[in-house]
Amino acid sequence: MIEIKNLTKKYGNHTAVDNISMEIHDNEVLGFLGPNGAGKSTTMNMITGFLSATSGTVLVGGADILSDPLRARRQIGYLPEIPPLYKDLTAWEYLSFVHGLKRCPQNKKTHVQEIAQRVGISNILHRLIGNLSKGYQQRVGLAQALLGDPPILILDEPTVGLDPAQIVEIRDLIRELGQRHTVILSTHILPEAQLVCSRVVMIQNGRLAADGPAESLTGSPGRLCAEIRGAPEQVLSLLRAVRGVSDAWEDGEGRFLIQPEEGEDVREAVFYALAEARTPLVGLRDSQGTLEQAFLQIMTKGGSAEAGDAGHD
Amino acid sequence: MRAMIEILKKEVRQFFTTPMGYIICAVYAGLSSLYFYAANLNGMLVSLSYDFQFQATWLLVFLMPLLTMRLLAEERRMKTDQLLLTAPVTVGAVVLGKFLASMVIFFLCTSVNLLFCLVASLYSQQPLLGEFICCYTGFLLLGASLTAVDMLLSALTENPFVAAFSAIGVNVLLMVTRSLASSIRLEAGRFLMELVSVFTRFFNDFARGIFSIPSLFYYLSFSALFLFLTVLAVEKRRWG
Repeated sequence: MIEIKNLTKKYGNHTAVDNISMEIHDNEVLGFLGPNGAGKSTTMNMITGFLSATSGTVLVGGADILSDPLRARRQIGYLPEIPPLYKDLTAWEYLSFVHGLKRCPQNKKTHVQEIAQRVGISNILHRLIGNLSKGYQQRVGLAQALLGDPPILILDEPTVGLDPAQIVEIRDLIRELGQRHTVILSTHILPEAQLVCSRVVMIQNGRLAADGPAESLTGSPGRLCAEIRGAPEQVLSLLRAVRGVSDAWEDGEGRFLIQPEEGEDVREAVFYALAEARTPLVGLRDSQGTLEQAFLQIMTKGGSAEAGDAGHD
Repeated sequence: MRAMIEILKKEVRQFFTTPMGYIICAVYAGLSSLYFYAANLNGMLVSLSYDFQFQATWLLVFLMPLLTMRLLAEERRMKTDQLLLTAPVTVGAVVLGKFLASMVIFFLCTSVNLLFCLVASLYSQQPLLGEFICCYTGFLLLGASLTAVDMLLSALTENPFVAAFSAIGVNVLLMVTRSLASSIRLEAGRFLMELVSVFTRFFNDFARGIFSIPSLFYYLSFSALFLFLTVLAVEKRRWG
């Protein structure tokens, strides 16, 4: 659906995006993760053709975004980081304008109403956009991207600045949209990527740091996180001696991570082993290695090859 | 084409959603009526050409920057250019739509002249319509040229006020060339003055009742050139 080849953007001597290549397939919900300033927005702006690349190409449904821009852009609905809203128009006037601007073939009235229904703004269509709350403004921005039913949606930090309830609603909406559209979304909120995306790409300093299914980046399931009172070396040797434990290590915040062997439940064994040695176990929980940890690991390593490979099988 | 008309409609609508649009039109109508009253009704001298000359000298220089200041600078400032430049439309259509919107507003704003023509024809012995059409056409062409120049300035900044003030400066400069032209002896200087003779051509041809075809073409190509430069200025940001 979207093919990105050796995409590079330079501003003078500064390289904002450095030689990124990837393919995004139909009906994939791709999460773009990275710290602020990593090059997420720049990459999205190049995919949508708002910015040109210094070198490299972007093909959208086979059409080059720079040499065949109209055909490529027609397939994309784009919600930039700051929703491009005219605050002095009503939501209805604005969406009617975008409908015409994008030359949507659908009937204007019914199509705008249908989209408004989907993003939940039917009740505020006739209010001035400038008077709407941030959450509603974000939804009007999303409605704008959905107009014309483009096969690809590109959403730049769609949940930024919303309250928790609104965030949940927008995420549900995006997940639903993922069933009919190819979605690229950027975020620096990691659980969001985990919840919404089928595939996660991490960007650091303009480079691709990792690429794979969300699960592959968060470590294997069954890993335990334990809080144990005791000297770390002693605790680790105790843990490693337990049957069924393949490895154990400290996470750097005073907790211990225990990796059991495939299919083993080691919780009871760990409890007794620690009790016998009189090193109290005060907490034990399942540690689906969070994306946060994986993220920090990858970021500090400066790119991980293993995670990169995981995505391409 | 459809996208261009949508942009035109949006711009006109936006201009009249704030009181600013009405205030600009009201001030324009007020000042030009004052002159019409003083010169034509009170002075018992019916010359619609004087009205247009007054408006071209004193009002146009400020009106055009007010109409164009927001057109591209505001889009950039509010980041709404991301919508326009990623929609399946060409930059040319965007620029042309905005230009035509400005011309529509310009016409609405100066349509008070139609009223002057009507009132004056009640008092005048000779028919005025020919003179009026000639003057008004030249006036609109002059306005179109200034719009194109001022739009370019709006495309070069993201601050509408910077756009407006630099546009006033450039417009005054263009007007001053009219008085300079006669005093310049150098051949090259004259040629240069001829190139930027937007005001001169209005005063020397249309305001005197001469419907000059070369001047018509001059105005059209002058506007087209600056619209093209505006498109380049917008496109250049993509490559920046």
